[in-house]
Amino acid sequence: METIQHLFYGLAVVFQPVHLLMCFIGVLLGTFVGVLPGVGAACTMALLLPVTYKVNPVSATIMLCGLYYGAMYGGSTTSILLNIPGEVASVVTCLDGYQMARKGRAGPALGISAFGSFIGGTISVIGLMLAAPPLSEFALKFGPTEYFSLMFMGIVMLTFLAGDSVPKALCMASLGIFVGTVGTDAISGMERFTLNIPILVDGIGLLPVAMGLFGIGEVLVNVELTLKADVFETSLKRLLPNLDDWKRSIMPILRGSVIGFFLGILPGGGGLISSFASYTTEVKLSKHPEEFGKGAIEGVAGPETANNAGAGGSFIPLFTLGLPTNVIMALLLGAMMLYGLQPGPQMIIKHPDLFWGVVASMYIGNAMLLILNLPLIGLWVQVLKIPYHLLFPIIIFFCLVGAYSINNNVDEITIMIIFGVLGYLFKKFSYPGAPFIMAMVLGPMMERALRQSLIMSLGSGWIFITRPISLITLLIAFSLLASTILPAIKKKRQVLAESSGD
Amino acid sequence: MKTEEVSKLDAHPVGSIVLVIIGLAITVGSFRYGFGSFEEPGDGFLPFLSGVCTVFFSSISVVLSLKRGWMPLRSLWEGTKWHRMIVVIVTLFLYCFFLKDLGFLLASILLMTVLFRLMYRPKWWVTILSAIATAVFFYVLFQVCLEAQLPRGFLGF
Repeated sequence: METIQHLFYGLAVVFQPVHLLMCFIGVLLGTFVGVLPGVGAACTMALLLPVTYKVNPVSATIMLCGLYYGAMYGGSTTSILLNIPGEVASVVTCLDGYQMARKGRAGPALGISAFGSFIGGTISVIGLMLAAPPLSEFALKFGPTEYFSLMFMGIVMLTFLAGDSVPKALCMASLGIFVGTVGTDAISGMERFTLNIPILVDGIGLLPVAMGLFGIGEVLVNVELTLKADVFETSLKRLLPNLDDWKRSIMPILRGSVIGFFLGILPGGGGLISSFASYTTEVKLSKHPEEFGKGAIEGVAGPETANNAGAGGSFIPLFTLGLPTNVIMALLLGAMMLYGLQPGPQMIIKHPDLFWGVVASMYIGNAMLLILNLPLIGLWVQVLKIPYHLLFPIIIFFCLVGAYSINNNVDEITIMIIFGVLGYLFKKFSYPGAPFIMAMVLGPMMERALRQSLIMSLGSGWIFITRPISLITLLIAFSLLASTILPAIKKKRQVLAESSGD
Repeated sequence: MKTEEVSKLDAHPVGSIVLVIIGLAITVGSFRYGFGSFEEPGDGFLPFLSGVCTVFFSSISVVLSLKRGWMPLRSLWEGTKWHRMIVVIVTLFLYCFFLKDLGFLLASILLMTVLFRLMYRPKWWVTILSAIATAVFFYVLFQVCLEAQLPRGFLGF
């Protein structure tokens, strides 16, 4: 009952004209970004952060959240029509969505994708609304030791899932932690690694780094290529799935909602893992698994539902614990801290307008997205045809002006360009950028928690073992690390045994 | 070399070697700030740990590359129009260098002119008009609407 009252309060917050407008702008931009390959939600969020300084924190957060789950909707359009994922989380949709388009069924593919996203998004918001308050209360018992262990586990899980090479991902995370320490230490006031450069005294800002890595870096990689996308020309007249489509899709949609929501809560979770897990589940449960990869509508309905449900689920750790589970959440955390907010257990108590306003805005936003993605699908197909040679200068320019406007300082642009070059090199040498950003955001918080824990325990590391929550999270983290090393050791032993047997 | 053999190769280890060196620099540099003790960690405590981890994990990457073999360095740029990337980077740094002297509008028009012509060659008047329109749009958005203090050059804007 109390939850319903809070929800009505949130609706009262979100129905203020400025919040409704920001919600609409967020989902519209999110869909736009999701549709366009080569422009990601992380990059766009980084570009928009300087702009959001001028609006109130609730409006800004509503817009940024709308951008994220809106991108999950938009990503399916390019997957289905171009066989190129507009967002990383929509990569699975390419497998069956494009095949459906080739068979003249692009309309039902887009339609079921939109409906599934709406259902998954709505279910995950309900989950967020119900789970967040009790989880926040539980999290009030956490001390610095638990927080350090949770953040450590979060980074390890993200690195585990970030790319092909775990050592490279962990290296990036370590580097990110270091970059987070540059500047004036919050505890002692000492300047660290500033190299007597004035701009570094306040630390390296999240915005120029994020815009550099995800904006400039991405553009540098893409301008080297000859990007040519052939939009699959097909009739989009019938967008509504027929009865048979619904019969085949309803259970994948329901399963995808649950799978996506729970996987989204986990560090490293969010849209991508959820959509993969849903697709794998549907293949295993299907009576006709041979149809997957050839235009099975279940292969679109389940993953697209799951990626939206995962997006909703990923808000839970951020709002209740102050812990981001993926790069987007890390940027959102950085943004909220810039607005003077501290996500965590106290947030729902101290800023109920923010939390319940955002929750209510997600209901409204999902409804807006259903309208944007069905009747207006023709508009997005035209957007797909915007050539990259027009798009990339705008992206670069937005990055430049955005970086400058942070502090009206040209040095911020220089930092952004440097990180843009680094982002380009990271991609070339297969080093993932996501662990870097996440560790850079979490690094200062981890350092504070680590130092406080060691002070509390008089230097004894046993404090991380004797506290149950800390122990469990560290065990999970080290189990994951061991799972990457042990198969390699086992294989080595097999090879040695075979060679000695010869 | 067969495609499947190439795909199993690692990226060139020079990136990992550079990171080993950077990690060592961080580790050594952190001693300046004092490691402190486990009872009272100093300012150099976490930088030291991050430096050690950077060295450790990037060393593992080097070893794995040596074991598996790696693709030639030139393969990273084979078949790409890498000169465009160089043009973009140089142009951006020049933009930073001249921004305060030329002012936002003039510097931006020059920048956009170069970028619009990088991947495609429309007529010059189309390029220049597009560059002016983009620069003016962003000027209005940031200077007028968002009240950013964009630099004025010798022309006063």
